[in-house]
Amino acid sequence: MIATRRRQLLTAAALVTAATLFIAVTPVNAHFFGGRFADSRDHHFVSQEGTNYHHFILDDAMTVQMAHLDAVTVMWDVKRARFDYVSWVDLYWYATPATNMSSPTTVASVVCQVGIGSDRCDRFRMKYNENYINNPSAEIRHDVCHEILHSVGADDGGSFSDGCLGSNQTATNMNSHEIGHIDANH
Amino acid sequence: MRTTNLSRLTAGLAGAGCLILAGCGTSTTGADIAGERDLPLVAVGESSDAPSDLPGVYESSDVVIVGTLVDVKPQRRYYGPDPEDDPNQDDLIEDVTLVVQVESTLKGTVEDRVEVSWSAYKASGRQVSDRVAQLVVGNVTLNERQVGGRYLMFLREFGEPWGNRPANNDAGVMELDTGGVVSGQVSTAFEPYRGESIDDVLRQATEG
Repeated sequence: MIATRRRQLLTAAALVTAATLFIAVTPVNAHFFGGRFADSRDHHFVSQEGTNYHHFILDDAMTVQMAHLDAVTVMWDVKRARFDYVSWVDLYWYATPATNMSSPTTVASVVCQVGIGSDRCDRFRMKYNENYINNPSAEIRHDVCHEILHSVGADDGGSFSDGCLGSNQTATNMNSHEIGHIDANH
Repeated sequence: MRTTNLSRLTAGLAGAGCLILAGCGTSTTGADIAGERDLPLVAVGESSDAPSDLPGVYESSDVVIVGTLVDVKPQRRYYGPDPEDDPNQDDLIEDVTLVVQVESTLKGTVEDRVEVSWSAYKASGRQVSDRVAQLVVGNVTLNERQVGGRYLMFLREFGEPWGNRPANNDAGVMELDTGGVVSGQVSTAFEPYRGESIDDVLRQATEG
């Protein structure tokens, strides 16, 4: 009886150890949310866009999608004035010619400008390809939401269709999977 | 015909880039960076208008090759806002030219070596020594540290100034082990094909 109980305990311990090892050795960049997370729940954003037409199109999308981030996750956003270069801004954004993108079919990109350690970022920069500035508003909002998710730690990947990282190019609401990861890491 | 155009384009791009950018003209091999400090990894998150499913990527690719990364050359460094005033003017992206020795061609026609443009570094200035981070694009990092690696690449000619690049940054590269099985670094959208052989990947790409 005691021997059986001991075997059960050893088996359970081995399973827990195996699971822990699996999690520990899985490469960071293989995780769906393995990018650089924001440094805090505050997620201030500022426009660096100098062209009024581009600014107002993207500002609308940024404002709506950052408000969505605020509403459905633990993050909260503060929109600052255009060109307001205060040190606590977390996400700068602007539109730029396609030649400043990695390829002409790259719609938008986000990269960490100021990292903290290996997995946090104090400030991100988002670029939007001017060639796509006249896309339908739902597609722009989807792309902006997609990039905002990168600025809170999301990598690309996953196989679902909904959500801002999914394949539906007009989806503008984060799905429960995305929200869960954001909340868990901030 | 494709071979000629592609080769001319990439050679021309590299030449033009070297006329413009400081630090060009010599390649930087793995041995050259032995003393370089270990640069941190920084992910680039992107959304793309290009297909990311395997059949779509195959269809949109001009050439699909299996080859070995044999050399890496510095290329252009570029930056974002057009006339906007940015407080971070020294925040640059550096592209490199990956020189790939072709082992087999699965689509299109290429010569023995193909030059592929790739966003490889963040930099704070125009010199090689100004590199501040290695970029992770679509879960893949390619620079001097990967020389010797064997890859399945789906490439597309984008014209100047982008050159010949993966058809989609999130779906363009699969690292291969010596047995031709997808392993190691794999583009985000290609993750489901990890562990499969080149033949299996090609079959699914063309049957799609």
